[in-house]
Amino acid sequence: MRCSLLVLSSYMDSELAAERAGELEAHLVGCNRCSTALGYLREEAQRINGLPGVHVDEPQADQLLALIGLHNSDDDTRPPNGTWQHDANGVGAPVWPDDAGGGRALPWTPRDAGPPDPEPPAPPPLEPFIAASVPVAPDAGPIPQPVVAPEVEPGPEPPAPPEVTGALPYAPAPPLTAHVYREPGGLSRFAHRARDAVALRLALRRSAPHDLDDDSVQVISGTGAPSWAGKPADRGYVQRMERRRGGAITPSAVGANLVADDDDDEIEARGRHVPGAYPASVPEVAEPAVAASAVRPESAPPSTAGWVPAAPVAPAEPAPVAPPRDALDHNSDDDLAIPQRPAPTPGRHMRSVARTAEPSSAQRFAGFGQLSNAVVHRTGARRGPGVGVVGVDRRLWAFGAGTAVLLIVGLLVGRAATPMATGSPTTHPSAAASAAPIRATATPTAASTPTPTPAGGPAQLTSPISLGSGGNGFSVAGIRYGLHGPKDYRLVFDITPGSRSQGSPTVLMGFGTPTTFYVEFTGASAAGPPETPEKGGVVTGIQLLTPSPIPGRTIYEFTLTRNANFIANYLDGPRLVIDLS
Amino acid sequence: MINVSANVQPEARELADTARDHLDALVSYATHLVYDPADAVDFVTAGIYHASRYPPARLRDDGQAALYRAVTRACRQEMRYPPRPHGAARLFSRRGAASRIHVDAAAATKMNTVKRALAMLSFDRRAALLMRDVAGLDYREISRALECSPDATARLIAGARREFGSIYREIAL
Repeated sequence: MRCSLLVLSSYMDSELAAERAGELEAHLVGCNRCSTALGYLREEAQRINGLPGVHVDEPQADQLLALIGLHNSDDDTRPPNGTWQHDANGVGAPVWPDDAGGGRALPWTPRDAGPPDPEPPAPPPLEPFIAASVPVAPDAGPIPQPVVAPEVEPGPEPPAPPEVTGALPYAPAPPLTAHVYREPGGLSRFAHRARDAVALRLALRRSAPHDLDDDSVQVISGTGAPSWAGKPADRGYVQRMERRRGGAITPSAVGANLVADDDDDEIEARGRHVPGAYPASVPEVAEPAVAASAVRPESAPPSTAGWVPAAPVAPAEPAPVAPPRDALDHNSDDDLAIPQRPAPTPGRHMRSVARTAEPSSAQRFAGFGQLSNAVVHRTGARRGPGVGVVGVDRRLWAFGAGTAVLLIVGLLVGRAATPMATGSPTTHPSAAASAAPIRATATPTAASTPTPTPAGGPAQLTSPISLGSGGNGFSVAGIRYGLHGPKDYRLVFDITPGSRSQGSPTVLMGFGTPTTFYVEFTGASAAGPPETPEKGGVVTGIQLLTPSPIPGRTIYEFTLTRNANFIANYLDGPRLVIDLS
Repeated sequence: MINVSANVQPEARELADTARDHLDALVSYATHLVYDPADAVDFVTAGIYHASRYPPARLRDDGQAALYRAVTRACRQEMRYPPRPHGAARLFSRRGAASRIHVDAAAATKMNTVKRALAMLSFDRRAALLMRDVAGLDYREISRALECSPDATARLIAGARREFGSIYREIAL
């Protein structure tokens, strides 16, 4: 036999089979390890068993059970005639017959609760009260004696107010007796059904979505709920629940007939019904909760006796009972025993199930699969019945919309804050062909005195434009110029790269004066003086400034006849092309 | 998933007697399970409420297990009765009637090494261990309470004892 903590634990709890227990005992004789482990297990069990307990006083227990409507009514003081009984607060409460078989949660007598209730005694006569309320003149003769009014004293004096002990100043309501509620037929039946359907829809719509939160008591297993086996305990359960859920657990909801006749017939045919004259609003006990949720036949061990699904409860003939409404109106204890709550909303998933649960057989509630699909599509749930699902949280959508708005605003503000460059230099002459031509507007400066040579760097030029990637080892082989198009005058600088030169030389162009145009090369030397331009063009003179006023730069000066705009870019070659217009 | 307001079944009276008999054990079990007596009372109330609406068929045989199962589920899912309001309404809501039920839990809430070791266990293991060693339920009833097979219950308890023992020996002074 192998040493196993599972076996030792089961042996300590007396859950091991007798045969195996004998084997283990024989093993313990020779195995110190298992004996020590068993000792440790007993010590730990004793430590846990030594945890202090909690004591609930009897009044507190009664209060707890009364809160959920399970208070034992045997302790209540009842008059023999079953009339109204007022408690210390002066609030009346219905007192049911002793053999009604239920507490405050069952204000009506079940149909098969036993022998019929005895006939309630006749209510006390009203003659004493009526007789006492009649003023008697002092000089009047003897007051006629009532037939049954021992407490009323006759006499010449006005009688004192009678002590109505045990009698009420009004005719008490007759004790509740079970009676069969027969649904009206014909047009009234249709009207009742329509009224109940509308009331149910309104009740579901009024209920807040948050009622189905985690804190509320939610039934996820039990009689009629979808079982873990993938099939509901009762087909059409959700459909009937949707119909019956027309109010809270109050007797006032009893009178609402929310069950169609076909459901009653189905109940009768299948023989499932609560043994008692329950109204249609009571869910039927199709299968016990334990059997519905806990049984897994494939995993049930053969050694556990009784681990079988319980048989369905023997039904009785359905007979919905609707006690008189006047009797129920005075039942204020229901507010404590049976809290009156609005009909809980089923949630979006339940409404989807309700929509799918059509009366037609093809669209009846198919069971766990259909319900899980609806839940999965809306909640992403992966398994079985779970906690109720509330409606869609719109806060997430609002947060996403706000984030998108902030993103757009940030993009717009960012673009507005960052000034866009008037020109972008091309990085490589090979890419200059696809580069967009740079268009610069020649703005005449306010300075009227022409400066033959730029004294400083690019800051001295107006409307400067820089091109090139900063390459070195280039030389300006020559300058070609001529008319280009109807209006443009083109200047082409032929640049010869060196053996190790890459990219394109940096060139800075701009106006020193409105009629003086400068081109400054960095990384390129002049191969020779430029040729004199032809007459008739906008360029009247070209001059290579030597020595260069700015060290390290090759500067060409162009004399223009007028103020002109220029566009410059590098072409493949490289060649610097400047168009003057 | 389905919040059904069901009426109390005829067996509720018998279940009420069973709940009254085991109320101390239920509240003790819930207190050691959630470490808060006020919450334990709420959970026990919700569990009994649920069990009263859906009582088992064989109440005399499975009544205790049904109560423990309902209370365990209420503790696991933090179901209270009456349910708590959500959002800002919780700030303005008075404590429910269940909170006015005072229980003698001074000794039970006192923290000690055993409770610290139990707190390190998972919910299922802790529940199984408490039901076995505190409430005295057998494996069959525990399996019905935890909605698993008796074999799984045995393994759960064995694993809980092993883990509890190692943790206790580690943190005990």
